[in-house]
Amino acid sequence: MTVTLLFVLLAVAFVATLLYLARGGTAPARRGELQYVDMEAFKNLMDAGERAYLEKNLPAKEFRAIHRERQRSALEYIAAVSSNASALLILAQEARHSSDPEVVQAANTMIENATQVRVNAAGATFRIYLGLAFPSWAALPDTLADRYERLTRLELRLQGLRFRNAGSAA
Amino acid sequence: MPSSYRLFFAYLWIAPHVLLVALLVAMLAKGMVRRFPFFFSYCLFELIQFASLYVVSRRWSLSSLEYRITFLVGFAVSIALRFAIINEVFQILLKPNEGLKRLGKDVFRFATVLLLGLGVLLATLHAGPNRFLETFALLDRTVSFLQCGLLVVILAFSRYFAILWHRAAFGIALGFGLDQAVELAIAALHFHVDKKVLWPNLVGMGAYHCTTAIWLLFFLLPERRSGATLMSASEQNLVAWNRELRDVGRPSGTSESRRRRVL
Repeated sequence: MTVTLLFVLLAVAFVATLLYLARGGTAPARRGELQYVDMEAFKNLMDAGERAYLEKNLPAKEFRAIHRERQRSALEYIAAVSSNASALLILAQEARHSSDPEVVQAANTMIENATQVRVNAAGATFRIYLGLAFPSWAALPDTLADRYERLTRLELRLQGLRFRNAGSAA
Repeated sequence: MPSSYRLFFAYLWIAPHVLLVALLVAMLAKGMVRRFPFFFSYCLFELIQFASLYVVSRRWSLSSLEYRITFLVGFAVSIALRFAIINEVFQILLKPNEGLKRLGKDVFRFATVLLLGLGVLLATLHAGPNRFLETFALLDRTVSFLQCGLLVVILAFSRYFAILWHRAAFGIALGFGLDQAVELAIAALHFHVDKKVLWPNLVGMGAYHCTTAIWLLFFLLPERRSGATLMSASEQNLVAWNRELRDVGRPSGTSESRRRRVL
């Protein structure tokens, strides 16, 4: 009977998950909203050199407390970066239907980069949680900030192309 | 068996197949057969199976062995086609996203192996009598579990990577997911509910009816475009930046301010 109950509960969970995943969603990314990310602060938080510097110059207890706080802040930044990448993915997929091949190419490049940012963000989150659980864990994700910066530049390029096309059409 | 039940049973048996006919016509009319060849084959197969069983049930009586063979062949073909459809939906989802193809395939393979292992492990927990119907229910339960899990993985994957769905492909996944979840519960209950109890059968048939209705609806609806545009995002971006500038100098302590603070 326990196994049967387990499967019935699993079936209910499957239906609930399917319906949750299937609904449009109200997350900022789904609404096309972008969150502000202070790149300088983000890069600082993700910088392994900065971490080593703090570890070297602060008493161990103080360093641990500060490091934990930095990691929590980094998690919030990563969530914002990931959400923005998601919003840009949606927008780039829309832009791919443009009649201008240059816009299509820029949109495709943006999709590739935004996808990579989402993958990196998931990995970075996992590693930071590992770091919170095991403070001796030294590995900090260091490519995410650069990738995200590249993505924002691509977005600007795509916007520029769209504005140019809108201008020439008017 | 009360006549009202018979009537309801007949309705639930016939109605989904009427919807399947409409679905096949819609697919042919919209030229979607080449896009969804396995789904089209599955619908056609379901119709042929229904027609054969209907005719047989009216004209001939099958022996127990003949019935089992017919049933098992239909079941095996149906399972194979359903797996092919899940793969078809996933390929359609990945097709325009070159960068995700490799990762998608890896995730799909990993999920299949993991779910299969879990399904087999859960199947071994069952120690019932090894009769035809029990064995079939056990197999049905394992397959439903695997297919439900794969559909959830596909939906979660597409949501995480914000992939825009083709409407019909989304309808196929949603319909299958709901149908397989109900099938999973019914197959599990099979071991504990008296064979004379009729409602699990009706629930299963009702779920299939809903599934065919979902498929037809999603195939008939026009392809959607997301409301978001790059221009609107640009405007929203400006609003967000203005808000951030307004926040500068406010007392710290909020989550937002902590996010900006660098120690």
